[in-house]
Amino acid sequence: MKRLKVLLITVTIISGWILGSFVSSLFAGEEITGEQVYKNTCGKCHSERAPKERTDAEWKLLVTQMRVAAALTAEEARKVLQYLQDNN
Amino acid sequence: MRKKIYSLLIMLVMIFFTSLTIAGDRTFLITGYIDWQYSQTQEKPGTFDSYHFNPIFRFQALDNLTASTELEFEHGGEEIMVEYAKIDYILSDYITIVGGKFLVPFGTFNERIHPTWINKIPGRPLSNDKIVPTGWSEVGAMFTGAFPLGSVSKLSYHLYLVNGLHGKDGDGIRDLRGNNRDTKHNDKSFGGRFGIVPVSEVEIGFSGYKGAYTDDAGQYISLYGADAEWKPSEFLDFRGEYNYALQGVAADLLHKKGYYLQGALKLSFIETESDFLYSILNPLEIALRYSEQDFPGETDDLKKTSAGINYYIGSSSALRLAYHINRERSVEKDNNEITFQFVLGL
Repeated sequence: MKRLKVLLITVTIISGWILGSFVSSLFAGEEITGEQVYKNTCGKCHSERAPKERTDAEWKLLVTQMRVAAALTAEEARKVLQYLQDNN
Repeated sequence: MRKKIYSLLIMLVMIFFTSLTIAGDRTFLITGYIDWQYSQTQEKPGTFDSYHFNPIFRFQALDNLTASTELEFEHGGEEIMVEYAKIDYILSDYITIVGGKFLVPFGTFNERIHPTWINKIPGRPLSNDKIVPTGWSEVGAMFTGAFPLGSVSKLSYHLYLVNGLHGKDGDGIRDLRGNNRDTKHNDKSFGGRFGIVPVSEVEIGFSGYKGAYTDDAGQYISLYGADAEWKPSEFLDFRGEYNYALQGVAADLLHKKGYYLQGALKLSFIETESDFLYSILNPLEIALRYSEQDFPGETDDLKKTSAGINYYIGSSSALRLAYHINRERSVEKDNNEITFQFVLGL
């Protein structure tokens, strides 16, 4: 029972923090850059590959396919591709 | 004979893609990963293992039309198979149609995390072995996409209809994979995952799957799962999954559940003015993972604690050393394991 209480309190705190951040992000109107999407979304699963590792066409192919696997929005995919192509 | 057929298939795939590349202004790319490892379990002889050589052939025909296939050579070629072979067609900003054989988006470990150059601790967590059978591909069709909510948050979905897991009444879930052609019945399996990114550092997902798995479509498997990832900084990340299976067997319903929690910390967060110390700490990462599986009865109830250290040679190559403590609920065995792995993402 004690473990359940600790778990519930932890879940409540984390949920509250996520919800608060979510609501504030909806109204803050902050613009996220391609580099931030690349680091936050792609970097959640794997180490970031350096933009110079691929050509423009190769990044286009990879980002088009990773859009499905990583559940990127169309806008995120465009920003990430722009960032990688600008820096390769 | 089977190996010759696969070798021929690989050559044909390469010739096919290469000819298309030559024929037009299209992109063809080979990626993938390779690894080898040495593992030793208590009271058993250790072994070297050329575990994976998985080339991935990728092709872009149009801006919104791509194809890819991953061939899997495991254990030095003892097991050869097509992990996935699919076509992705982006219909609009919010809908992509995927057809062919694809990794099932149940949680994140199966679809995104399991390749060894990504997976920070060698091996699978218990919740993603005999409950969600990682390395799980299905043949069918899928709709997927993501919707922005503000500038940072988003919702994503995967919805699929597939041949589904298939085997004999009571078979382990892991043995039900590989139903590439299903001519036994029309009762196809369906599933999906819904994900939410409330803030850019966090993703939460919920997955479900249901389908008949026996020849007569008399027995069903239902899977339910929840997953979460949190990357509070560039040095630190946490992830976990909870998976629950209901498997119908003769006159009974088996409940199987399990979860894993994992954290990883890159030591480059330690600030130092010493170049020597920086050169030692910068490539290092420590990772911890705990997983459990709870099956009917006590025989298969297991707990696994894994601690690992990774040395990154490059962004996609690493040396990994991990120690796994395995605990059984019924009869304790001496089966802890140490693994040394060398991985390279291509």
